[in-house]
Amino acid sequence: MRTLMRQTALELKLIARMRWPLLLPPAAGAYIWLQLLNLSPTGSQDLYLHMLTALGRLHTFAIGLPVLLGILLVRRDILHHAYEWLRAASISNHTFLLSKVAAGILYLSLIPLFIDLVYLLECWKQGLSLPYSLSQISLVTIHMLVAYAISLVLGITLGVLLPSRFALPVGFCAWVFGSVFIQLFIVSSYSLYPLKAFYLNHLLDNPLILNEGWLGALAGRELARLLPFVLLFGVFLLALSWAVLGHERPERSRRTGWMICLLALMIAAAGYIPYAQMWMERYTDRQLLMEISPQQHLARANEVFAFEVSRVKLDVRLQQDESLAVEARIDFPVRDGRPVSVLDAARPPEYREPGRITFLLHPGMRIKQAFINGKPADYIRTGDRFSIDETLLDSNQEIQSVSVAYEGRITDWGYYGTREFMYAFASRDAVMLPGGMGWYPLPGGDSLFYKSGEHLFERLDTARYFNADFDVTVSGFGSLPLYATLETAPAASDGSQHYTGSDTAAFTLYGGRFEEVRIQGEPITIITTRANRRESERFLEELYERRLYYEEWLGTSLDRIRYIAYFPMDAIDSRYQQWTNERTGNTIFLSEMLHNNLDAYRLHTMLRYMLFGDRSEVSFADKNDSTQSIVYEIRETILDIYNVEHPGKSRFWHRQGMTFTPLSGPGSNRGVSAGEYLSHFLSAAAAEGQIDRLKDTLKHFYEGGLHIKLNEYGGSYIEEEYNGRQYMKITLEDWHRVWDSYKR
Amino acid sequence: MNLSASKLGKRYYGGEWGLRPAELHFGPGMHGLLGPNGAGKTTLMRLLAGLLRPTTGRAELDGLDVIHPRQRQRIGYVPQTFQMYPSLTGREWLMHRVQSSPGKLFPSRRQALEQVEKILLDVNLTSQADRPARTYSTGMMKRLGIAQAMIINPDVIIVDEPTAGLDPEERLRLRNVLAEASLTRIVLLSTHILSDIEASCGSVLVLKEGTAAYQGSLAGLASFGEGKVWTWEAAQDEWRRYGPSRLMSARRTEEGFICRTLAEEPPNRYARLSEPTLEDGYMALIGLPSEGGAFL
Repeated sequence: MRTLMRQTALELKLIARMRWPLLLPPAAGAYIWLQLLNLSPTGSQDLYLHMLTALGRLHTFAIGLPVLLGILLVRRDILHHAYEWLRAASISNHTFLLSKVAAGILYLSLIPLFIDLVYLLECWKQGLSLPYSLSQISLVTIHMLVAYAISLVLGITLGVLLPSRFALPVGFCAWVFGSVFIQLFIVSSYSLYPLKAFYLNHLLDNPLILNEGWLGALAGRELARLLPFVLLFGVFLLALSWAVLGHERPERSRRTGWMICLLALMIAAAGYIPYAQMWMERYTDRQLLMEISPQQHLARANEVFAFEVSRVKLDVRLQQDESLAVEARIDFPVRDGRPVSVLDAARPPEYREPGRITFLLHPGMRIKQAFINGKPADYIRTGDRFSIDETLLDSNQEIQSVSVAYEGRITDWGYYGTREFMYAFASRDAVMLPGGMGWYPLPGGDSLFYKSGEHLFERLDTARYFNADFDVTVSGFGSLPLYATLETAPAASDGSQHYTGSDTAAFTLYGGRFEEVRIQGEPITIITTRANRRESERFLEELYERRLYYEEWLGTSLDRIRYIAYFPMDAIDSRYQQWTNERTGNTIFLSEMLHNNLDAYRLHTMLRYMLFGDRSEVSFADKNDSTQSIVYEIRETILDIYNVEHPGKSRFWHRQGMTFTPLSGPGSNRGVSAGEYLSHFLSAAAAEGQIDRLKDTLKHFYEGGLHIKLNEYGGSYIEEEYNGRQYMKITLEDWHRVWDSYKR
Repeated sequence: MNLSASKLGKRYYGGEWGLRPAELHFGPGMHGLLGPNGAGKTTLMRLLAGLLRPTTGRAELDGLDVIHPRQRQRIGYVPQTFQMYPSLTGREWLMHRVQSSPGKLFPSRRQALEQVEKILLDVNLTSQADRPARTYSTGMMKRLGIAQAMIINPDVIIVDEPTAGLDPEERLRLRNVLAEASLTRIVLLSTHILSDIEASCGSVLVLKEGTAAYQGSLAGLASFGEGKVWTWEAAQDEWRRYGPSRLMSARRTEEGFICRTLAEEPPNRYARLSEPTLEDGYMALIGLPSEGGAFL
């Protein structure tokens, strides 16, 4: 050990005296510092997100350093012909190798050290506590250290196997392969995700690592399973180097060296087993979903089969093995002994299976027993649904009840192109169970997923018309902060959470290492990561000012929204990735991204939700038809009027965004867009002191309902699909008529 | 103390023998190793130092294979080409060698320092000991090579052409250092400079085309020249006619040249037999054409 320590010290001294390596760790720290310095006010203020993004780039390049260093360390002396004398030194081969590895790792650890110091300093400037900041970067730091260590050993092995003139170009290729090529081309092109074990850089474009609240459950668990293999593979590489070095510098019989090498390889292969098991589970689960899901062109709209539900009662328990055990009771009205379609209350839905009432339920859930109106009932489980015989319903009851007890794991992994993600997950460290994922029975419906070629997509319409009263109890998640898109009751003494909702959408359950941000007076709570606290508070303050204004003016309480979930959602599928401002029940999911934040646009989005219950920015007045609805333009005018009355308070003059809608309006306004028209109207009203009249006009329409229902893709329904549940038909003539009626 | 080789041989890829199986024995003292380029000297030294795995036989130091890791601290080796970490000073490296040698007798820093100072003094490097090795001259580098081999106090020192390229003063100093070291150790000295062997070695091993052609005393090697060394005085024309390349030496005098050559028969009627030197004996062993006749 003394020899190893002294030799390590010597190697460190030699690295230090090369001088150029000493410049690199501070340079890495400086790069991160520049990235964190003066964050753009229009971008995310989350230091972790910025650091991680910058680190992904930096690490891609930095990983070349240990490979180069490894080659240099062995080719410089022990395998250099002019240092042959060194082979006679009384230092064993393994001491030589281990000292080089130890010195290399010690030196390379300076890079994460500098990066961490810079990050902690910036966190401290933002008022984040040291333990919290450390917990944020610990996984990343460990990954960097392990990546540097394995890259160093790889470099050493290449150096031992090949002369310098070959080892250096091969090392270059190994760096490019391990840090970029394998993930951007091989793994994603061929969907060979188990080869992630050979990534040298897990920080580049990894959506599972961006959300610090889910970091441990998603990236952390995967890396933890990978770590033993990486370390054991490193040991194998060292054993290989040692065996080859034994040829150049004999110590023991060659057979001994190769036997140890073989043994190390077998142990490393054994170390891969837990990681491989994880991937087998993921691929098996995905394959199951693929098998039961229809091709896109064969899938039918879910609402065709969906029926009304009046009440859902759930008792959800996370079990020891992190599977869910659920007891669900679904109450639904019947008419003439048959369920009521969500599309037309006068008739039943189309039946997915003749004579059977079907529910969508995630295929990972194993049903233990089912009851109809309290009596045990037979059921048929087929793929992602279960069904009961319609004749088992009690024709004397208006409300029927189906109870089902089931359990199973619901951690669904998927990929699309170069991106991997989770459809849903539930563990003790993080939860994301979207309401439409079928983790509780969804009435009717066609399927939970559909496939397009070899790709699997979650369907966004599974719960489109699903509204019910919810009564939910959740337990088993320990101290994990847990949230639902429902009203939250205080936690019970046994740690269980209780949520309720009245006539609300299919609820989503989510949780992670998040914080709740509130300000005095404002009822909305922002669920976010700690680094976003300041920005969230500022956002809530601006929201609160507007709330007071609108509630006083409109005389109504804007209490549709209770929570804003604001954090990176890259780890979960398109539901929150594509539609970054999505509402589920009383919660708005705002996906945090690097280049935008809780800005004025999102403030207006929030106000749309609060005022109108949706975030639609779709105009219907884009036809050459003055009978088309200007409902959208009226909504935008309501938003703008705050800015008119509070000049200088808005960060964003919204009316500039309203000039895109061409309109053939009445009279002299023909050819002007509805947006421009109402914008002029607003300006003129302000100039002529008729703001109050205008507000009365707007309030009149507001009270009539200005909600716009979008389709599952965030767009408007085509004209032929129009029905009264989508939006109000308000024409310009209606506008003028009401405006005239408020003439004073 | 006994360094021996039994059927020690090394065959390289392609089947060519670098050293044919040889039986060798070295006791304490300084032993010369001679042979033309490519005769297998370096191969033999690397085999004896345990740096090369033999194809046949084995080399042992006091009965234990030299390849055994424990033998590393008993054998010091200085190759012909010696390079040192350019950024380290001589003192730093020697201190490291002392302190990182397992089981040696210099446990404390003070003792290690004393040992380093002594060896620096022996090889006359004290004044340059704190300069980075990249600033050392060839001679200083060779002395550092000797010092690093001796600092661990080995039982065997194997040195490959240590005096090549050194000025006479350096050579003498180095020779003396090795001579002193050989009092208690086995020193194997490979060189092309026969005077170094003559001045310090008690025995010599001659390799020829990978075969141990001779192992024994210096006198024994010189005796290979007995009856084959001829001397005569030749005029300039005659010297030219004979061919300078066939002569061992030709010293100019007022009347012509004193010529000396190796041959089985007298080269002319004026030639007289002379007493052979070590060089004569070595050349007689190595350089005589197989069919006899004059030295080339």
